[in-house]
Amino acid sequence: MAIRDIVSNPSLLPVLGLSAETRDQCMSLLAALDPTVDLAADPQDRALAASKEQKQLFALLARLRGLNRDAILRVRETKQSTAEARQEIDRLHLQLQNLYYEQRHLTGEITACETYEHKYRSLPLIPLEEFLALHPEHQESDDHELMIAQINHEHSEREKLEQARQELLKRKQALIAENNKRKEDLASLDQDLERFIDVGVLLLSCGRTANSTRRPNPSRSSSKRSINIRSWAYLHALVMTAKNDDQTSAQTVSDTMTAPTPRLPPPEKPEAVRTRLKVIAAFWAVIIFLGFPIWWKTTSIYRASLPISDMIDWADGKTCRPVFPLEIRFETPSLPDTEAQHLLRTTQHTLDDLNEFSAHHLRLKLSSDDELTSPRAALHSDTTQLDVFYPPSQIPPPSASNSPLSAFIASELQSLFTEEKAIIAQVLSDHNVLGTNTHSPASPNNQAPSAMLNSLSPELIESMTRRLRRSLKYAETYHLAFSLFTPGSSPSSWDIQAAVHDYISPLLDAFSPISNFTVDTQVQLYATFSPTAPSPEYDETHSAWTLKKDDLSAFINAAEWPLSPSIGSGPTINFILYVPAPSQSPLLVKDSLATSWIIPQWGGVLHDLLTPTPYPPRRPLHPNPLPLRLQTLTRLRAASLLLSASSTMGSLARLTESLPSIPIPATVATSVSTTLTHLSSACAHLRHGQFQAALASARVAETEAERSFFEKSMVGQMYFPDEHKVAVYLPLLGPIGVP
Amino acid sequence: MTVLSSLALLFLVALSSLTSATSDYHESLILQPLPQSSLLASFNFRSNETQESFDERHFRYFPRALGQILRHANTKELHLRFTTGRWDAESWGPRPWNGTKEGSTGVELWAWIDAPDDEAAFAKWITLTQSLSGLFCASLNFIDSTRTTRPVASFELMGDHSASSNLHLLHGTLPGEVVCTENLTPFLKLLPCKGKAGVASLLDGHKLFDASWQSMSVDVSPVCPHPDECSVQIDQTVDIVLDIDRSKRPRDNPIPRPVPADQLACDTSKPYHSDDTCYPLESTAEKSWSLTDIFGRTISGACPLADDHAHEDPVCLRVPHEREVHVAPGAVETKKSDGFTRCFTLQPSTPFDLTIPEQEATTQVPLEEPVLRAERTIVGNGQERGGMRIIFDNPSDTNAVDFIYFETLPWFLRPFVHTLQATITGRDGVRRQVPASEFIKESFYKPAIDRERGTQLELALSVPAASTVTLTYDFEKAILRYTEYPPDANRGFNVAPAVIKMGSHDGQNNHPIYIRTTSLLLQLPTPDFSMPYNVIILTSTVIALAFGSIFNLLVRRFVTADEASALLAQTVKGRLSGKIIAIRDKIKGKSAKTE
Repeated sequence: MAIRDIVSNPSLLPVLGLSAETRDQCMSLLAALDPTVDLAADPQDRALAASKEQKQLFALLARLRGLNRDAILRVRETKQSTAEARQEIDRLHLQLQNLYYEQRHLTGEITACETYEHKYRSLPLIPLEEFLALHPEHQESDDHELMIAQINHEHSEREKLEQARQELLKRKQALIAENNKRKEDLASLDQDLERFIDVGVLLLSCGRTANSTRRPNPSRSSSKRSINIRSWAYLHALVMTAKNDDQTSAQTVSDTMTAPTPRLPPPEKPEAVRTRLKVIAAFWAVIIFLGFPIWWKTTSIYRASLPISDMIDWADGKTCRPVFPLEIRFETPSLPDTEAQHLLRTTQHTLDDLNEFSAHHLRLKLSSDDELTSPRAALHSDTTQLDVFYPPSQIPPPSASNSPLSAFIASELQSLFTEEKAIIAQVLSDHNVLGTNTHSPASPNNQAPSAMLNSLSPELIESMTRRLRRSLKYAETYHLAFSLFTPGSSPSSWDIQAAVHDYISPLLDAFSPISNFTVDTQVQLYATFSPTAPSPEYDETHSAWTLKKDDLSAFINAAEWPLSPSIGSGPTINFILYVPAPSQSPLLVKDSLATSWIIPQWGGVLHDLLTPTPYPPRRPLHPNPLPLRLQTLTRLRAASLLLSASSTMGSLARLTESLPSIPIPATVATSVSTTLTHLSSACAHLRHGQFQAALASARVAETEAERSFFEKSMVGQMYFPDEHKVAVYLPLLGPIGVP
Repeated sequence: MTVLSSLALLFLVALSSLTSATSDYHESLILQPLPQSSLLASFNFRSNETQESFDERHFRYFPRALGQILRHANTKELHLRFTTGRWDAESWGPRPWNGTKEGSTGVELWAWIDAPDDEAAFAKWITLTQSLSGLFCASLNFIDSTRTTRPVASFELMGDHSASSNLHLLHGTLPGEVVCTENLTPFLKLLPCKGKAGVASLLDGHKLFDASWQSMSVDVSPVCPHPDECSVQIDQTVDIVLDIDRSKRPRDNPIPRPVPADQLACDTSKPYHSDDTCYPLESTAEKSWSLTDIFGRTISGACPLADDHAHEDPVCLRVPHEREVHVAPGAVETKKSDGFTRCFTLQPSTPFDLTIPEQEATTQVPLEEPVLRAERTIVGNGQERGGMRIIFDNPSDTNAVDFIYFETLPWFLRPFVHTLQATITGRDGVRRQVPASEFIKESFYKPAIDRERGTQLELALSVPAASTVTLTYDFEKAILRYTEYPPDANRGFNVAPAVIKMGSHDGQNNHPIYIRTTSLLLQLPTPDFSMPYNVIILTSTVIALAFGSIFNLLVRRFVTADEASALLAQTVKGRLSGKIIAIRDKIKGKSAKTE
C-alpha cells in the first residue's frame, strides 16, 4: 500500500511531496557518491557535485523538518480540540444520566404510594348493611365519608365496651377481696379451735392424773370424775359445732387428735427378694471364687520349702562337730610285736595326757603287713616318716606304764602338729562352732577351742592370725599371674617359661589334689607410679632409694597397670616383679630394707635389685616337710569349707525367714538339699579320718551353697517397694470405693 | 616369706637368662595431607607372640588381658572396629588400608570361634562380647542374638589356620555406640609401649575424637610363615582424618575467630572492593602445620621394642619431594623413589617433631579414584512403611565391578525382598528399569525372626562400567513392645551400615577392598508412654461407674422418701443409728444439765 493511500489529509500532502523530493535528492547524492559508477571522472568534480547535491539535500531536509514541526503542532491542536469536545459530551451525558435516575426514583415513589396498605382496611368492621341500618343519615354519602363514619362508629363502640370491661374488673376485685377476708376468718377460727382443744386435752390429762393419784380417796375422785365427764361432754359439743362450721377444719382436728403412725411401703414380693439375694450372691461368688484366686495366683511368689531348721542347725554347728582323728602308724621293724604294742600304748597314753583340744587328736596304730597296702600308708611314705632313733636300753619294759622314750615320741608328735592344731582351733573359734556347744559335760578332753588357744604362746597366735588373714579363700581354681613391671623400656623379656617349668610346676603338681592352677605371665613396660603415689626418697645412709612402709599400699598403680583378674572363676594371685629405673635403683623399703612384701589376699611384690651375683639356688627351710603340710592343708581346707558352707546355709535360712517377699525357685531347694547331704557326708568322712573324701564333699557342698545363695531370680523381686503396689492398686480400687 | 624368697629366685633366674624370644613388635605412622585442608594419619602397631608361648600363657608383647579373653572364648581370629564419622570418598579418595581396617559407624566385631557346633559357638561368642565389653569399656555386651549374624561370603580369614579346626564366623554391629576416649585408653594399654614412647605417644583423646573421621581397629590372627612355626599376631591401627584448621586451634580458646583484617587476602578485582569491603581470596598455598599443632604433643622418641629388621622407618609423610619439611635434629630423612613419600627414623628418648611451612602448591599427591561409590538411604514417609535405596556408582569407564553386598537389618525392619528392583543409569543420565537379576549373580537371604534374629542379606552384584545401579526394596516397620523402646525412642533406631567387599582390582595382592555405607536412623511408630497408666485409671473408672450403677439398680429397692424413713427405722442400721442418736442426746442433755 502506498503511502499516499494512508495519508489523505490535505495539509500533509506537501510534506509527502517534499519527502519524495528529498528522497530523490538522496538518491542522486548516492549516485554521485557511488565510486563504481564512473571512475574516470575527476574526483574534485565529483566532490563538488556531491557537495552541491548535499547542500540541496540539507535545504530540503530543513524544509522537511519545518513541515514536520508544523504537522506535529497541528496534531497537538487537533488533539486539544478533540479533548475539549469530548469533555462537553461527557458532561452532557452525565446530566442525562442524572435525569434518568430522578425519573426512575419518582416512578418508584408513585408506585409505593399507590400500593400503600392502611391499617383501616384490616379492621374488623361491622358489615356495611348493618351500619347503614344503624345510621341511615349516611345513606347518601360517598365511600370515603362512609368509611370515615364507619371507623368513627367503630371507635365509639369499642370505647363503650372497654368501659364496661373495666367496671366488671372492679367488681371482680371486690369479690376476691371479700373472699380473702372470709378465708382469713376461717383460718382464725381454726386457730381458736386448736387452742380450745389443747386446753381441753390438758384438762383431761389433769383429770386422769388426779384420778390415779387420788385413788385411795374414792369420794374425792368421784367428784373429779364428774368434772372430767363434764369437760369431755363440753369438748364433744365443741367438736360437733366445729364440724358443722367447717368440714375440713374438723378433719384436721381429728388428725391432730390421733398420733401420726408412719406409713410403711407395701411388702416386697418374695421373687424380688430372691432375685436380689441371687445378685448379691453372684457378685460375691465372682469376687471370691474368680477374682481372689486370680489375684492370689498372679501376685503370689513361688517359695520352695527349705529345711530351715536343718540349715540353722548346720550353721550353729549342732549337726556336726568337726573332729580330726589323725592316724599315725608305727613301723617298728626292729622290735618284737609285743614290745611295739607296749610302746604304742604308752605313747598313746602320754599323747592323750598332753592333748587338751578334743577335736584334734592323734591315734597311733601299729602297721602290720596286711595293712601296708592301705592307701594312706602309701601316700608320700618317704617324706611323712618321722624317724626316731633311740638306744636299745630305752625300750620300755613291759611293766612300766611310762617311759622316757614314749614321752619323747609323744612330745615330738605333739610338737609336729601344734601349729595345725592351733590353726584349726582358730578357724573353729572364728566360726564360733564349738563355743556354743556346751551341752556336753565339761571334761579335760572336751575344752572349747578358745581355751586351747589361751594355752598357746601369743607369738604363735599372732603368726597364725596373720597367716589366716593373708591366705586366700578356698577356690577350685587359682590363677597365678607373674608380671614384670618396669618404668622404662628394659628389661623387656625374661625367660619365665623355663623358670615356671622348673620352679612353679612341681609345686603346683603337689597342690593339684586340692585346687587347679593356671599360670599367666606378662611383661609390662613403661609402668610408672600413679601420680598420687608418693615417690621414693633417696636415703644417704644406705645409698638407696627407699619407700615408706605406709606408702606401700599405693605402690601398685591399679589404674594403669593391667592387673585385671583372670577370666573364669577363682581368684587371681599376682606375683609382681618390679624393676626400678636405673636412676632409682636400688629400691628398698625404709627401715626394714626389705625388697619384697605381700599384699594380703592379692599377691606379692618384689623389687629386683638386678644384683650382678644372683643367689645360689637353695631350698626354703621349714620345720615340716611339704607332704605333711599338704595333708595339713587338706584338713584345714576341708574344715573351713565345711564351716563356710554351713554358715552360708544359715545365712540363706535367715534370709528366707526375714524376707517373705523373695521368691525361692525349685533349683535353690535342690541345691540346698545337695549341700546338706554333702555336708553330712563330709562330716562323716572327717570323723573317719578320710580327709581327701571329706575335702571333695566339702567342695561340692560349698559350690552348691554358693550357687543357692547367689541365685539370680531370688534377687529380682526384692526391690519391688510397697509404693508401687499402692500405685497399681489405687487406680484400680479407688473408683470402686467412691460410690 | 619363703614363698617370696623362692619367687625372688625364680625372677632372678628368669632375668639372668634374657633369651631373645621370637616375638617382635613393629609400629608405623603415615601422614598424608588430603584436600580441603585435612590430614590423614594412619597409625599401625603390630606385635607377635609365638603360638607356643601364647598357648602357655606367657605374654610378652601380646596383651595378657586380650590373650586371656581369646583363650577363654576359643577365639582363633578376632576383628574389632571402633569408628566415628564418615569417610568423604568424594574428596578424600579411596580409604586407607583399602577399607580393611575400617569399621562401620559405632562398633563392629567379627570373630572366628572354634566350637563343635553352632550353639557352642554362640555361647562362646556371648562370652567374648561380654569380656571385650569389659576390656574396651564399650557396650559390646549388647550384641545379642538379634544383632549377631553369620556372614557367608563377606568376610574371609586373614590368618593361617589348621584345617582340623571347626571355625564359626560370627559378626555383630552396634551402630549406635559412641566411640570416645574411654575406648582409646584400653586400646593404648594393649600396646607394649603404652603410648608413652613411639608414634603412639601422639594419640591424645582430645585431638583424636575431634577428628572428622576416625577408626580404631584390633585384629588378632594366627600367622604361619612356615608350617611349623606359627605365631599369634595382633595388629592395631588408628586412622584419623583431622581438619588442620580445627586442630590448630588452641585448646583453651577453641572458638574459631575471623582472620584479622590486615592478614586478609582480598580479591581486588571485585567492583565493591574498598578499604572496608573485602572478598576474601582462597589461599592457594598449602597450609602450614606441625605435629605439635595437630596432635598437641611431639613423638617422645622411638619405642625401643620396635625392631628395625624390616628396615622400615616408623614415620612417613606423603607430600611431594619439593615440599619443604623441617624435622627435629637427629632424625634421618629418606626419600622414596615414587616422588611423594619420605620417611624418618626416630631416636630413642629424643622428641621428634615435624614442621611443614606454608608453601605454594605446585604438585599434588595424586589420589586414586575409588573403585566403587556406594550410598544407602531410607526413603518413604509415614510410620508404617518405608523403603531402602542403595546406589552403587562405578566411576570406571572400562571395568565392571564385582562385589558382595552384605547388610544386616534389625528384626523390627521387615524387608519385602520381592520388591527388590534395580534401576541403571548410564553416563547419559537415562534411567532404565531392569530386572534385579541382571546384576545379582547370587544372593543369600536369611529372614528375621521377631526378637530372635535380624535379617541377613548378602548379594553378589556386578555393576557394569560407567553406570550407576540403584537397588530399592520396601519394608515394613514393626511395632515394638512397650518395654522394648529405649528411653530416647523418638530419636530413632540405628540400622547398621552395609558392608561391601570387592575383590582386589589390580590383582597384585589378594586382600579384598571393603567399603561401608553410613549408618541409618529408622523412625519407628512410638507410643505414648503414659498410656498404660491412663488405661488402667480410665477403664477402672468406667467399669466402676457402669458396674456400680447397674449393681445398685439390681440390688436396691426404690421407695418414696417418707416410706424410706419408715423403712430405715426397721432395719438394723436404722435402729443402730437411732440408738446412737438417743445416746448422744442423753449425753448432751446431761452436759446441758451440768452447765
